[in-house]
Amino acid sequence: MEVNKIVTHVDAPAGAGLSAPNVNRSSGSARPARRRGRRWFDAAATLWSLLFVVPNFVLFAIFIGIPVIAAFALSLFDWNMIADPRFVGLQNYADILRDPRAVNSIVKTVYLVVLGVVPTVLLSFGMAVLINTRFIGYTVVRTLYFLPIVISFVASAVLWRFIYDPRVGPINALLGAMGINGVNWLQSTAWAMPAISLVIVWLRLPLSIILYLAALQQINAQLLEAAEIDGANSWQKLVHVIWPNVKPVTFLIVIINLRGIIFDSFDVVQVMTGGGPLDSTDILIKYIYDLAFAQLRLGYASALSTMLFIIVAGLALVFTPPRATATGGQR
Amino acid sequence: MTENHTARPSHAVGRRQVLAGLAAAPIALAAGSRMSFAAPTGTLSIAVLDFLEVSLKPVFAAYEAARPGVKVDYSLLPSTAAELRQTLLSRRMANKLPDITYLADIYATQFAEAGITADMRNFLNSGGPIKMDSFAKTFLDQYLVASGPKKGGYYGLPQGADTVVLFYNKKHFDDAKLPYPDDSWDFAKQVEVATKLTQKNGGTTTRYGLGVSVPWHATYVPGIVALGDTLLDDKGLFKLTSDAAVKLFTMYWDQVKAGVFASNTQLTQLGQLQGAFGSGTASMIQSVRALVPLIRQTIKDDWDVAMEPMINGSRHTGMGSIALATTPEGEQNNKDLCYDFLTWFYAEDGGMKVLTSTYAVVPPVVALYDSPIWTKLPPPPANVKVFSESIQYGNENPTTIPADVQAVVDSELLKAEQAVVLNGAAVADALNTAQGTINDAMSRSLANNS
Amino acid sequence: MIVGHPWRRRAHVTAVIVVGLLMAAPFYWLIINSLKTAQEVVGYPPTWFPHDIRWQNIADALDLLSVQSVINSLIFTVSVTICQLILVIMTGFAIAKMPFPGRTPLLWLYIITLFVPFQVVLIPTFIIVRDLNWIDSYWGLIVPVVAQTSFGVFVFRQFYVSLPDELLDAARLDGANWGDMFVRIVLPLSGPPIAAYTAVTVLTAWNMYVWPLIATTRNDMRVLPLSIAALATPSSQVPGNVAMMAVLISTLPIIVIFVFCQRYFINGLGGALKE
Repeated sequence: MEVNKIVTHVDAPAGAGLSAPNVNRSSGSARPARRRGRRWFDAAATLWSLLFVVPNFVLFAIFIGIPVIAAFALSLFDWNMIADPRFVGLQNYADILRDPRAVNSIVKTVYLVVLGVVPTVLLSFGMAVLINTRFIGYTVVRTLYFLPIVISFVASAVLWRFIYDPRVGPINALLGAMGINGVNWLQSTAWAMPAISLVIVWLRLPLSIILYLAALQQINAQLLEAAEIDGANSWQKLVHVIWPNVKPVTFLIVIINLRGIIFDSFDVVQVMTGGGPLDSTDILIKYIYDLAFAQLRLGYASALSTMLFIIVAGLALVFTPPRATATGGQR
Repeated sequence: MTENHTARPSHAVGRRQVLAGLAAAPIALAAGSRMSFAAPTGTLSIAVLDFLEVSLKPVFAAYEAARPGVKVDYSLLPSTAAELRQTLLSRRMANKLPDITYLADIYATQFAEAGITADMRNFLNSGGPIKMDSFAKTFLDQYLVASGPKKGGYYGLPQGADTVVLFYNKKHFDDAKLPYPDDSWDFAKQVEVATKLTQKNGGTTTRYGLGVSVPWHATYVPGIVALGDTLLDDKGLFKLTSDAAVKLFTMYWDQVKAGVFASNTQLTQLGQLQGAFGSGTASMIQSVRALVPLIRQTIKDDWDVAMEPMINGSRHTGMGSIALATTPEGEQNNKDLCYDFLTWFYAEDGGMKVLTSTYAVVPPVVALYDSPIWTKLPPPPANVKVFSESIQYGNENPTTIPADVQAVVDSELLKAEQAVVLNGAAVADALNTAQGTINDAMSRSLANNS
Repeated sequence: MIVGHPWRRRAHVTAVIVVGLLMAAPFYWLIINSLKTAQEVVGYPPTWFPHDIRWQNIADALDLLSVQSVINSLIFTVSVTICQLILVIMTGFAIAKMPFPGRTPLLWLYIITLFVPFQVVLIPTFIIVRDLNWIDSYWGLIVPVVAQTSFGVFVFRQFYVSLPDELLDAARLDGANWGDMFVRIVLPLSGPPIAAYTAVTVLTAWNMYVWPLIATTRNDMRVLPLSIAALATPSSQVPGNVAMMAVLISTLPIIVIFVFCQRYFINGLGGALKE
């Protein structure tokens, strides 16, 4: 409650041109101001939006839209890039249900998402809050947090394969020094996936930290100061000031990590375990790639991707149904 | 298309094609004879497998030095099966094939059918010094297409003649006071010595007696043949549950389970065969000449090579090769230059001299088996004759297995190994599971082609 | 920003440094191994500091990375980043703040296309580029990558959504049109997201492998990751120490860009909000 008051109080100068302290964006007090010029603005906005949206959309339609439609069409064919495509209707989709490796790879993908997305989001938020401060040499220290994305996925997978090496790798050397017998991480059906997810979280943290940091930087410093003057402790500041302001970026971070872990983990898995041992890290994207280019079954690979796409897009729609975040008067 | 003009004319060939063939023949002959007099000029584009770039760069430089009017423009091909095919198939779709491309043996048929490679009989019969019988037959035969529309053609020329031999660490043998491996060795002897060389710390092996990739065709194919059977049945399907196959895989996997042999399940962590041997983690490995350069750089101890041990009283060894082939586009647009390059490449004082000086290649040209260009390189390895002598014992992976099925075979046999070694599954059960998936893929592939 | 007792501040700074070192620890392994000899890098037990530093690794690694591929990587990365940035800032802003019909479906179009695996659209995209006759050209290399705007549109839309409407309303009352507002108000406030997005896009483009692999066939069009990939294959003939040095060297330009971008994470927040 107190914090709400603070927000109102501090934000008022930002909207200096307006008389009403209309901080809550969807509150009624903002409406009259906007309604006054609404008709004129809608037309103008639509015209301007064409300029802002169309160049992007044209490129997007040609190089993303058409290929996506083509990939869907391909799922109705049997094609190996050599002979002519053969129309098979929904046969590829029927095959998925009878394919144990497909089912296994879906399970493994879900497992990796759980092991990957949650730690990435939580740790990156914690680290961003942690490093959102200044002291002598802070830029250098911050760079340490960003180092993991500097290196390509393939190169870091090679590096980590070396680190996990049971004999010459540092992890087991350290554990050995502590008297613990390390396991052969990447050759264990139980440990391979956690080992891979650690690498993936490590690789994905910097991007999420950067996005959180950018969001934290945009929080008005006066808000935090005012909260402190009102006697808010660190936890209250986190919950009442910081968290509401990083909510949109959290949605963004969840979505891009979900996407990243489902699709971009391919390189790491390919280099570190190749999907093994015993398919324990055989995630869907690895299987799709194998189907498309190792087994040259492009139609079936497309069918599997289409199904993946429908599941993920469906989940996204269920959990975050499309609604205009109340800005700019659009609902 | 002049693809078949040197072969028996087929009945299906139309009148126009016969005329074209007749017209092309004298031109080809003229071109062949002109090559030795007038130096060709122009740009030759070659696609090389990425890991070969280091050893091929000096070869191309030497060719440019020998032919001042020529520039070699080489590009890289990824070496993993999926990416390699993705790259070459898309280049073919874009009509952007190089004049000459590299490939590996298992892709010969598929690339031929995809129109990526041209029939190399055109070159071998063009009247130059490199002919059909210049090559080690078993290696050239890896590129002979056995069925389908391209049947009878040779769609690649081997770059080297690589058979599997036994690499051993002399220091490990000396320390253990064991005699070095020799021609009399059989599998049981190899197990006995390997067990003595193995070192363990508690339950964990710290040094393996032998590194061998069991789910690799160059290991199991010759083994099954030595046990008197074949990998495929009459219909071309896999028979991994045959007595011979089960016995062979059991022989190897028993030792892997005992921690005496390191196979893929261990080797992926040890930097493959070359890494395990180079670092002294494996006292012996079953490997190939191509890995000698890397081993020379990493190993501290003295080492040498010996023949593969016998199995069931007979000697068989795995083999494999990487090849060059002109593409249909190269054949069409830049034929003289392609042929000149290939002729120079296989000459003792040409490409072979530069390439073999890297230690990575055994010449595939029979006349060069004893050539000092590679036998007189400073040791190790000292016993280089092993590489050329074991060629006669080579057993190739059946060329009827399409490359996309081979991808399934490789991953299924690796899974079988993991099931046996990590989970203690019975060998016959694991092989039976693998066979089911493999033969599904095989049947699908056969059905697609018919 | 941190107030409170000095000991709390010291604890905070210590935590920042310790966690940072943990994050960077694998790089220590990369650096020491890139300086070892080929024997030491595979030796057992592993060494935590190189016994003999082999500087020759630097020359060997540079030999594997051609100058032309560095130049191509720079051209590719800079073009992709600049073109994509312009497109996504504008579209992201339009979707977040401009009331035009169909913007919600448009947003969802961009979000759901994030979930299309690129492996499957690769071949259709390739065929389009081929039909445009763009294979082996910078156009073919760059434009299809620039068109991958889903992520960027989403990023900027999320940032602009939290921008207070009052800022725009005020300008609107002063008679500013959308173009004025975008240039004079929105862009100056966009420092942090632009810096963040630039960093990410530069990295993605710099490390991109598969598209350059199939979109170009000539050696003089080669980009760096194609040279690096050869080092990661099981059949690589390059020893591990040189391979790691090559990886290290190829990431140096990026580290420089990153340190440079750092300033904008901090200072990018313009004065407007505070005034």
